[in-house]
Amino acid sequence: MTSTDITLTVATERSAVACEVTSQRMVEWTISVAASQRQAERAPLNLALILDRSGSMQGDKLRNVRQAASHVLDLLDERDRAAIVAYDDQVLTLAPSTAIGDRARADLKRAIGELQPGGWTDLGGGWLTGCQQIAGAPPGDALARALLLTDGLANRGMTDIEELTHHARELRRRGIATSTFGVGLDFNEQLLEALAEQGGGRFYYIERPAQIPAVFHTELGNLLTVVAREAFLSIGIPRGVGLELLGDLPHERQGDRLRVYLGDLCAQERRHVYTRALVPPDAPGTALALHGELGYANIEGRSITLAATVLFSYLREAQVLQIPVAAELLERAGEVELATATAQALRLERAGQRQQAQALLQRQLASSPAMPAPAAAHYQLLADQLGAGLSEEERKATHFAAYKARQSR
Amino acid sequence: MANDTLYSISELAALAGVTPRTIRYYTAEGLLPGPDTRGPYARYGHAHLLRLQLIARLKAAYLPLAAIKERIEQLGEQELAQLLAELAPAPPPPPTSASDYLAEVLGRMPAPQRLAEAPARYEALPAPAFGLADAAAPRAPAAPQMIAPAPAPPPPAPQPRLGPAAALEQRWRRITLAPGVELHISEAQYDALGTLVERLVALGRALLGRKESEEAP
Repeated sequence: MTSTDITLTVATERSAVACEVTSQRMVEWTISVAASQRQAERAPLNLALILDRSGSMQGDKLRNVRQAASHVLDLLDERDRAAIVAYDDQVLTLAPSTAIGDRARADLKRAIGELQPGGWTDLGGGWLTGCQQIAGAPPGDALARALLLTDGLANRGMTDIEELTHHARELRRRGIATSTFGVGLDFNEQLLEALAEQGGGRFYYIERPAQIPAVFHTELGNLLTVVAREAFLSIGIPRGVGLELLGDLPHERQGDRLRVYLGDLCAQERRHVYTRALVPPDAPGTALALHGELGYANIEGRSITLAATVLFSYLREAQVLQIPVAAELLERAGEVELATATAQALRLERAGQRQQAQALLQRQLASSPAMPAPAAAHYQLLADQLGAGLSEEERKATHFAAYKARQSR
Repeated sequence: MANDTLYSISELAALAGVTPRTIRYYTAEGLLPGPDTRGPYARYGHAHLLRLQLIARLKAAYLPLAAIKERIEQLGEQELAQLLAELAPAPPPPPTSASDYLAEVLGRMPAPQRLAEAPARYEALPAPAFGLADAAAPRAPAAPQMIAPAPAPPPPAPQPRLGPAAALEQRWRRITLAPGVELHISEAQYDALGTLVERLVALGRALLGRKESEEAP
C-alpha cells in the first residue's frame, strides 16, 4: 500500500491576515484514508482479550462476553495471536498468547467457555497482565492491542486514574495500544476514555449486554483494516505565532513543534484536527506559512511522512475583512469546542458541581456564534440538564457522544 | 494546497522556509528550474516547492549540493513527492521495551498480582483469602498461621502499593467443581493433603453432576 492511499490537506477560515493587528484563524487539518483495495494484505494482530469476571458480570453479560470473544477468535487467522485474561480481584490468564490455528482456536474457545463470575475488580492488574502477554509474544510487525472490557469500577489493586493513564501512554509509546469497552451504567467512563485515548485505541460505551458482540466486531473490523500505524500530526509553530489545539486530544509540545497523536488509521477513515492560530501583525506583501506533517508507519513498517502547508498573506485589515470566511469550517470547529466543553462540564457534574458545569457549557455556547440553531438548541438544553443533574444513563450517553465529537472521526 | 497553485518568489520562500536569495542561488546552481513566467510576474509551482523541501531534507543528511543536484534533477513531480515521503527520519525508539516496562510495573505490585506462566489447567495462582462467608467484606488480613509468599521472579518491591496486611496473605488455589462452585484451598494444604484433594475434587464434581472424564484434575 503506497502513501497515496492517505492524504493530508489543510484549510483555514480565511487565508489573508491583517498587517496592523493580530489575527485569529481556525485551521482544519484533514487526514483522509482511501478504501482499502487489497483486503488480503493486512497487518497481523497480537491481541489480548481482557475480560471482567467480577461478581456483577453474571447472566446475560457474561454470556454475551463469551459470545463476543468467541466471535473475535473466528475473525482471526494464522497471521494472528490472542491471549485471554480474566480478572476479578485476582487475575487469571485463561490462555497465554497463542498463535491462531484451528486447534488453538478450539482451545481458546473452550477456555472462554469456562469463564465464571467471581469477586471484586482488579482492572489494573488484569489489563497490565494482558499487555504482558502481548509483550511476551515473539517480536514481529504485528499490530498489538489490548481489548479491555469491564462493567464496573476498578476497586482492587491499581485504581488511580492518573497512574493507569500514565501506563497507557507509556505502553502506547512501546507499541501496545489499548481499546476499552464499558458495559452498562456502573463503570467509570472517565477512566475508560482516558485509557483508550492516551493508549492510542478507542473507547466504546455498550448500553446493553446484547450489543457486546457487535461492538467487538466493530473493533476487530477496525483492526483488520489498519493502514497507518501510530499516526501523528506534527505542526511547526513559527516565531510569534500562538497555536492552540482543540478537542483535548493527546499531544506533546516540544520546542516549536506541536505533535498530536492520532492512533492507528483504518481504511475509509477521515479525521479532522483543529488548531487555532494567533498570527501577529507584519508588513503587507509578506506571508506566513504553517507547515504540518503527518507521520505514520505503513503496514510494512516503513515510516512515511506527508506534508501540507497553509499560507497566510498579509493585507491591510480593510481588505482582509472583504474576504468571505469559510463558515462551514468554523461550524465544524465549533462542534469540537462544544464537545470539549461538554466533556469538562460532565466531569464537574459528576463531582456534584452542577452550577459550575452549566456555567462552563453556557460560556462556551456564548462564544460560539458560528453554531447553527439546532446544534445551539441541543447544547443549551444540555447546559440546563447539567444544572439540574443528570441520570446515569444521560451521563454515560452524553459522555460517549462528546468523546466521539472531540475525535472528529 | 492544490497542486496547481502558483506562488511568487516570496510566497515560495515562506512556504519552504528559505529566503528569496537562496531560491535565486539554487536556480543559478541548477538545483532548481527557473520560474514559469506568466506576464510580468514570475510564478513557481508545486514541483518547485517539493524540490526545495527535498533539498533541505538531503542537506540535513549532510549531502553536498552537487550530490543533491544529481539525485533530484531527473525526478518528476510524483517521484519528488514519493522520495520526500520516504525520507522522513524515524522517531527515536523509547528507552525500554514493553516487556521490561511491564515487568517493572507489575514487579512493584504485591505478590497476588504477579503471575507465572499459566498452568495447563488454567487455575488461579496467588489468591488472597476470599471469605465466602462474608463475601461483602473487603479482604481480611492474614491469620496467624500464614506462610510467607512463595518466591516470585521479579525483585522485591521497595514500597508495596497495598498495606502490609495484603503482603502477608498466603497463596491459594481455586478449583472449579461445577458452574458457580469452587474449591478454595491454600497452597500449603494442597501440598499437605496430596491425593486427598484429588479425591475430594472428583467427589465434588460427581456429586454436582460433572462427569469425571471431562476434566483431568
